[in-house]
Amino acid sequence: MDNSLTLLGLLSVEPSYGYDLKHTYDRFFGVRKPLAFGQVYATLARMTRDGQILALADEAGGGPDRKKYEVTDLGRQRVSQWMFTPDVPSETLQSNLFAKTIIALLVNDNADRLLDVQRTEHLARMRELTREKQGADLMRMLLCDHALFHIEADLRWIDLTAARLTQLRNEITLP
Amino acid sequence: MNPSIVRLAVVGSRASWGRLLGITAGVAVGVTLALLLWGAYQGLDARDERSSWMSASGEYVVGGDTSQRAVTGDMASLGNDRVLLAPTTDRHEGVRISRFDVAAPTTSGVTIPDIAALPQSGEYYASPALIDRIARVPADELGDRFGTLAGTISDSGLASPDSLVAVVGAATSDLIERPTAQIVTGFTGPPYRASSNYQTVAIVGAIAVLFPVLLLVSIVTGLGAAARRERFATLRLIGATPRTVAAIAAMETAATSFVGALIGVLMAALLGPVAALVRVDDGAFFPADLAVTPFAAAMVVALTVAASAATAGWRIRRAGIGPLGQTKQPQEKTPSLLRLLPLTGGLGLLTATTLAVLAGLPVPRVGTLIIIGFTITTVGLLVAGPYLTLIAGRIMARRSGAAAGIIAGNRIRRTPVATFRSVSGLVVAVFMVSVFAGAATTADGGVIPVAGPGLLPVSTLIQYLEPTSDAADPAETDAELARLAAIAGVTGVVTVYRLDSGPDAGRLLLSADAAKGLGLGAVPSAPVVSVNSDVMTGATAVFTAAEVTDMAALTPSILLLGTDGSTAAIERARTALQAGGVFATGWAPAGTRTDLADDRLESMAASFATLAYLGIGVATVIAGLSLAIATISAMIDRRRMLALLRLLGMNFSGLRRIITLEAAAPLLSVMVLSIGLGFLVAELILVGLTDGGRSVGWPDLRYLGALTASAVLALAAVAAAASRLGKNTDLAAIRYE
Amino acid sequence: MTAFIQARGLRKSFGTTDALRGIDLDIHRGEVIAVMGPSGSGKSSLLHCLAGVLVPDSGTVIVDGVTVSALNEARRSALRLTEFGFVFQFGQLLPDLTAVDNVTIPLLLGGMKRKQALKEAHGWLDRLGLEAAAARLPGELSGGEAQRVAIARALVAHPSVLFADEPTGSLDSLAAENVLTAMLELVRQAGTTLVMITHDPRTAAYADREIIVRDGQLAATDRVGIS
Repeated sequence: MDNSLTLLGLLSVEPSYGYDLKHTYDRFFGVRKPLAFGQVYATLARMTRDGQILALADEAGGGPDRKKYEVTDLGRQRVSQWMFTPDVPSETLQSNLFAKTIIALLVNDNADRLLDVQRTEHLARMRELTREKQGADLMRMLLCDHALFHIEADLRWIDLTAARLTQLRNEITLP
Repeated sequence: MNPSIVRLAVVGSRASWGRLLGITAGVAVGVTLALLLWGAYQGLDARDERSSWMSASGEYVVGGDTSQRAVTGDMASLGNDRVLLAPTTDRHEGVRISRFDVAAPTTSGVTIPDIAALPQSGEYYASPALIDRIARVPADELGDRFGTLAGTISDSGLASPDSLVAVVGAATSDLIERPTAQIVTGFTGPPYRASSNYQTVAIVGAIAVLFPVLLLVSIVTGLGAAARRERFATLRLIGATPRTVAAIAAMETAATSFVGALIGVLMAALLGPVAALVRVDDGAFFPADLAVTPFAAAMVVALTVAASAATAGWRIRRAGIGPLGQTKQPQEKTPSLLRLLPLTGGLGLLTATTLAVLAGLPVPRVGTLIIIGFTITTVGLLVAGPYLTLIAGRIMARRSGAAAGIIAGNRIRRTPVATFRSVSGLVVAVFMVSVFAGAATTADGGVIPVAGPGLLPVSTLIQYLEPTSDAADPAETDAELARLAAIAGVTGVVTVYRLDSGPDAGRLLLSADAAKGLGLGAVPSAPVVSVNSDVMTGATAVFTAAEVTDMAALTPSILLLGTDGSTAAIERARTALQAGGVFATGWAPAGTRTDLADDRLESMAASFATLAYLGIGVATVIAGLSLAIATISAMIDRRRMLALLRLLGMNFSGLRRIITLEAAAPLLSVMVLSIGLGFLVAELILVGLTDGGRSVGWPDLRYLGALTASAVLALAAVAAAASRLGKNTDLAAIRYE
Repeated sequence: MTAFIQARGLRKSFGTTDALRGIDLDIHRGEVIAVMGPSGSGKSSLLHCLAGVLVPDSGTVIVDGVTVSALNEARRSALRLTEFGFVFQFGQLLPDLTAVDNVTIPLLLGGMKRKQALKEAHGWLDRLGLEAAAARLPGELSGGEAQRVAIARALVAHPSVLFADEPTGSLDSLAAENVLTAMLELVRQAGTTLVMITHDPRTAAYADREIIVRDGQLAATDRVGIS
């Protein structure tokens, strides 16, 4: 899962202080492994440098935790591009897809479409594997089947999530 | 058991309401017919009982009474405990009148239960139908035969409201000369029992009608069986025991058949008066004859409910519905050749009985043996049906080149029992109609005497005279002959004589002039000529010169009254003959050749032919109904398969062909057999019952009509079923059922 | 190039339920299409409309230049007979007919002589490895065998489109795979267009492309003009 893009996504919901941003992140994605403050500030600095966000005028001068950040148009584009680019099916994919779905719901973008795009990608990969199976030896075939079953599991999650989007949207609205 | 479970299981949907309605209607029809048949059976008994006084008999007085208390021409010789009775069968316009001439003193203690007092000479009592008839026609055609009306014979003394009965008072001196006169001491003897032949035919007829009724009930209770099995499987899945399910099925059927049976009782009560109009044995019924007693009705209802509930419960238990339902249709056992056994057995019994009777062996209870043989043959036909159906199915499945034929053929060979069940009613009906048609042919042959050159005209009245009676005063006789000749419409009067011995014995003698007057052919020139005696029964007349030459030496034997052929003239002549008294001395009143032929041919088969055709008609309609219901029911059960065929691109006419073939194949394969068997059985029954006296001839048009009606009904039944195809082959059924 | 099957603006409702709410779809000749989507999304209704089993309330279906949705029932029957084949999840064989007789039905309906039809049917059963099952009744076949007989029957009359509704839905993984590979091989050899409803992504993976139906509409990615 891409932390920086997730943070950028959260920022595009509304301008936020670094401190609040960390807590929002932890609420959705950091249940098991909260984000360190240092990592948040480093990421914010990098994104500022890349022009994806900008710091609003200091309210009381002082440290980074007193700065409020806002996403730029470039930043929004980057988030959108991230959300609607399907990931290559892999075992580490799930957390990223989850993050994309949550962000899409938070910024009120089309989460359905995001899942469809990912489903298409998964099916394309399954087709490749199925083609690879034709005429392959049994060892190769079993390997392909292993991969196919994993991708199928992802797809089942996608279908289930797609079916529960409305429910999910109601549950995660930011306080 | 929780009643709401029953409600859910039984009346789940609109389709199940249709099923319950179907069962109710089927049971109602069955109970109605059963009650009417029962009523008719009792009605026939009641008839015999009421009219038992008509069969009173006693010692004949012909030739003079030689007992101690000899009856003489004097009324007083009878005393108060005896009457003189002379029963005859008279006719009017072709209809029979039972006439009883009675001589009794006014003080007689002998009574007829349904008449106020025995009529005195010149008086008569008549049944209401006869009184109507007398009032309707001129007195010189009918009324003058009887005298003065003294009263009405009440219904309780009549077999039928149509009965024409007269009890006519007479003087002892008039009756004592009559050959039929007998001394009777009472009219309340035990009821005259119908002959066992008559009962045999009646029971056979009842079986003929009841078979299709039972089949109908069996078919309607199987309506929608497939859908119901699924519902019961669901019940089993959620924990109902096989017992519970069987109990639910039994309760469902008990409740529906109870309602059906009650409706049946009601319909039988309503239809009784209509059914009473059916003429059986020359007369309709009194409505009360067919009325079913509350006890009989209760019995029929109780039996119907108990039997149908037990059958339903048993069927469900036997079907063995598990929690998962039946994924495959229940496999039918392939019928084997053994199924032909009962049929062979029944035919064997009939053949053996008949052969034994023909061989003159003493066969006890021929009637019972024939009923048993007939019943076994009928059941045997039903048992053999599936086997023959299977063969037909196999041939069709193998030989057919079209999809419809192959599908229908295979369906038939996999389910021959179910397939045959739908047509079994019609098969039985056709078998029965063939039996009755075969039996009736013997009665129909020659009923209508032919007219032609050389034959005695059918318009000529024949009055047989009593040869032993002394020739009356010739002057009086001549005056009487002149009176008869003067009647309007009478064209001639001829006296025919007979000799008991000599070369002319056995032939009829008459004067050459009279013979020429008859116009029956060449008459040899001799004073007296003779003619063959069977000219009276329709043979061609051949005149020869007689040995005798003196007319005065001869005894008058027959009086021939030529008429112009009009009914009025014939009846006027008949009435005049009876009113005169001089010639009314024969065994029976005068009749034409037609009348006499009717008397000779009056047989059990003839009097039952109409009833038989009626019964068969009812049975055929019910069988057609059964076929329609069975076809629709099978179609509903196979909805999915038919939809599938439509999906494969078969059009409606293809589907119709499948349904038609499935009904037609068993019908045709067993129909020819049942027609053949029907005639064979008719022959066996007739020959067996009449000791070889009668045998089967060619069937009449009514039979062809009945066969055509069966065919039309079968077609209509299948067409009715096929017209519902559209509703039952919704393509969506493929996926969701 | 115009598509072999063209659906435009398909709408169909059953009572108050809208099964199809405006579907546009192009399928090319010889294409293998998987139709996916949640239960009750309208997949089957779509298939039935394409095959002329159901008549859409509005919209048109054109197959090979023939407007199916405008034909009468008799013409649609004829079209199903000559152009379409069908395979379902289960229970589609006539229970009273042997396997080989089942396969001959479409040929006989098409007017072929029985002897010739039996020869052809045996040929198809052989190709699907069912020589031994030819004389058996459907009740005596395993699920996989029954499905292969159904496939033989669907393909025996050389249809241009095969419609399959969950053809492997009631089979285990291995039997499903065998049935699918057999079906796909025959379909690809003959260049038959296959439209197949499935819940199973691994089945869908045999297709050239999948379309997803949701609430009576195609998912955004599948709409005509996007792909």
